[in-house]
Amino acid sequence: MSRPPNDDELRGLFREARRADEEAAPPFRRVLQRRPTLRFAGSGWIGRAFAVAAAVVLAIAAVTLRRSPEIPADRIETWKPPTDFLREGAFTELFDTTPTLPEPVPDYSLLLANEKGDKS
Amino acid sequence: MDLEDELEKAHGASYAWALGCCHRDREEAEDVLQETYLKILDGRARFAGDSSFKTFLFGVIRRTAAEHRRRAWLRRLRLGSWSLSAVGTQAPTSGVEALPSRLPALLARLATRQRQVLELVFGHDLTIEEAARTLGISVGSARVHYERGKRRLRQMLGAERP
Repeated sequence: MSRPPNDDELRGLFREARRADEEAAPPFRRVLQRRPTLRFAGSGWIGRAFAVAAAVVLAIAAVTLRRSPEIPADRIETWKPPTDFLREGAFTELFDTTPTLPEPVPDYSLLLANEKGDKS
Repeated sequence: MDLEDELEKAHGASYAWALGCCHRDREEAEDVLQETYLKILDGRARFAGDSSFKTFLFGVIRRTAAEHRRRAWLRRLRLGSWSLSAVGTQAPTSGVEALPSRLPALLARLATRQRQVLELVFGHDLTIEEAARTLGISVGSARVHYERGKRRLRQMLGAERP
């Protein structure tokens, strides 16, 4: 293995390679007016596909939102949960009415006095 | 500034750079170059004046080549004609025979960024800062690519020399 080239030698090699490339370059006008081997006009198809997909999603969303029926207010009031039957029973009335004290109010003082007497 | 004149003046260097960006495929390089010229002339790529025209032009060529490669890849994917030989790993073609040295073949063995930085700095007389701007990378990163690429290339050239 011999001495590796220094920076100047490297530069010389690159310049030589570049000169060869430049000499092989087709004329400027020909490049500008040539017909490409592969047309990339089809490029941007991804962007177009995204745009179409977005438009479809927006259209579907618009139609769906417009068609969704409004919930009438009275339906909330009459709605009953599916487990409502569990509340039905002997004490159902207690949930629907306010308890009231009997009139006249019974005198419980005697009862309390008897209880105290039993304890002592 | 007459853009067409500027492009024509830099045409030779642009072609050499486009070849480097297109793995030395001449047809592809011409396609990329045409696309680049059209982008600049119809205003899709604008020269802001914050760098030299050459740096700007080389940057557009590099980006266009990358787009070109991506599109070709997607097209192959869509057509279902995927094959390893079509991924751009082809060996350098006619360019190699036209060159008196084995430099392009050796450069092809370097990492892409290392090769591009060396081509820009040694082949096109750009500074490392300009090369970084052209490649869209940081100056620090370009410097690392430059040093590593140069070291590796020197080793290879040293081994090649009689």
